[in-house]
Amino acid sequence: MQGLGYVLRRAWFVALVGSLLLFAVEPLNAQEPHRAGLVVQFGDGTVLTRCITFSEDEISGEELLHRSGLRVLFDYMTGLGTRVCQIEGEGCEVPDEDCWCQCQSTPCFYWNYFYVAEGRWRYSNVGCGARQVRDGDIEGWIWGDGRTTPALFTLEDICGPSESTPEPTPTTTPTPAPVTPAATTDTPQPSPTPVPTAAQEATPSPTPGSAYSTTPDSSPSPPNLSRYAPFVVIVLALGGVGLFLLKRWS
Amino acid sequence: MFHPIAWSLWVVAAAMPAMLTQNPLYLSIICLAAGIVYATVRHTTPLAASWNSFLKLGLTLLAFTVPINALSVHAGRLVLFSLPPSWPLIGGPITVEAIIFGVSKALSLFTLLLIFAVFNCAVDQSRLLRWTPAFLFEAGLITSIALTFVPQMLRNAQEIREAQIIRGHRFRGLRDLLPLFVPLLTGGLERAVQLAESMEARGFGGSLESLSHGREIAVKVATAAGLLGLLGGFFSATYFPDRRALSWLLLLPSIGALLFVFRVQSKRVHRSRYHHDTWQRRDTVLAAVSAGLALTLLLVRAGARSLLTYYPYPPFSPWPSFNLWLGSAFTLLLVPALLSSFHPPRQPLNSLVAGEP
Repeated sequence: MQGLGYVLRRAWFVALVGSLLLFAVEPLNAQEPHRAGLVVQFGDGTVLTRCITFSEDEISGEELLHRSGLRVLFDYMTGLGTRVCQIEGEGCEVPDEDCWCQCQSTPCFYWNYFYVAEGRWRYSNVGCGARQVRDGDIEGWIWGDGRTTPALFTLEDICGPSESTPEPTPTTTPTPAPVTPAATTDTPQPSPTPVPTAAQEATPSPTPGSAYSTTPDSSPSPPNLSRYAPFVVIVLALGGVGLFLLKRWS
Repeated sequence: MFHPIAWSLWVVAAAMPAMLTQNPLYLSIICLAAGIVYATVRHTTPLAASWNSFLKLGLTLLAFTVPINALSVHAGRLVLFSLPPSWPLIGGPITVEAIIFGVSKALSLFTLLLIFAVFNCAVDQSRLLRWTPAFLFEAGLITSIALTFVPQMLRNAQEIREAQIIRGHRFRGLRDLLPLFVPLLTGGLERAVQLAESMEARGFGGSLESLSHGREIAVKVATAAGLLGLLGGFFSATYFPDRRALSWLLLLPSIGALLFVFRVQSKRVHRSRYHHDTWQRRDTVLAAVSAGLALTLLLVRAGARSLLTYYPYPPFSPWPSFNLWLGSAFTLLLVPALLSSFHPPRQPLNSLVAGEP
């Protein structure tokens, strides 16, 4: 009996060390840049594609949207996951509107989240914060009621052939002109489209300086403390009145 | 203390901003004002002791909400430190924004608890129940019995335990609970029988006037049709929002039918009052201030909603904005504390007769 206990204890120890080693070893195999495709389809049928390269083994679907350089509004209000409310101006104005402002009754429109598996779109049953994107994955967002899927692309459509990706840094490369395969040739492409232009193509980094950029260098300005002087005055006045009343009552 | 209706208006005026805004600055003003009001009403009731412990429990909420929000939301630009991204759920950057938002969520919950603690300490439930419409007298009675059930049972349990301690009985384990439960159960049954007898002795329900046969059928049909129409109206309003005319066509006649039923049923009941609530000038002041504040808030929400909303995550600024007028409007929630300190209530004659303080 004593021998079994000893073995069990040893097994625990080995498992602990092994898992620690796993954590430590993990960054070693993150060397060559991985690629993932992003397809965004708007309510009018316009399709945007982005190719995102990343050095990590896997990133979350939320991080993929962040790195795409698109202007995205996220909702973190519940603290239990991330909702996508607006992409490039289409959707709901969080926080003044509810994140699902157009989904209050039956014609329910919101940003549907899909991913490509075995050559077709699948509706994701987890949110973008919980889904992990690996090398070669394609993620799709469509403004719709959950029944229509985005136009189908292959990774080569979005990113080009795999050998022509020399950039070592994680950058986004907007695809030149809407690559519309057979599936989307019949979709109308109206003129007010957020399709990447030549000017955008020239910039390699995700739109620096934009109000929506999430790069660490655009840290928010420190608070203007004089703005809070009235608040401090009100709180002090309330505290004074409260102390006075309590003295009266006791 | 104030009239129950005035207190109810105050609760609405205080709970509405606590639920509508996420701005921690406004929330802390509301919380402070409600806390001062609570400190002044606390002395008036023995119930306050249990609410004190309840509020302490509410404080532990803060200890859970803030870390959970900070660990689960990894958005924001003010990064404190990062946990390894391979850790499920909690891995990622820990940001100031998530902490601030967690604090404001916890503050809003705690403020709501505080407001309802004030309400429960300040308002006598039986006085409030007197305001149920006459035709709902049965529901009102059931509610008041239910409300007194727990305090009565607790008192009964205390008495039994005292009696057993006097007899030298000591609680050692689960098995010793049986001698506590059996008298509690029989005591409860005894009280129920006593209540039923006293209700019968007072002629409960006997004061209903009987309806003519045609009227009774009309009331029954109108009730059924009204409820069905209400259900159908809400259904069509929810599922066919573009057919608004149809929903109103269903809703309005059914509301009318139900009002007719209420009127007929209320006329059947003759209610006598043992002592009347008096509405004093201080109640008018409290009600007016509360209604004004609630109305202002509704207008602000309809017109300038961004004054109330606060969202620290990018692309917005993590620092909450502060509007002087709105902030000072929330200090009006202090009115009950000020009134009860500087304008003590006149003792109404009938409450002296009834032996109430």
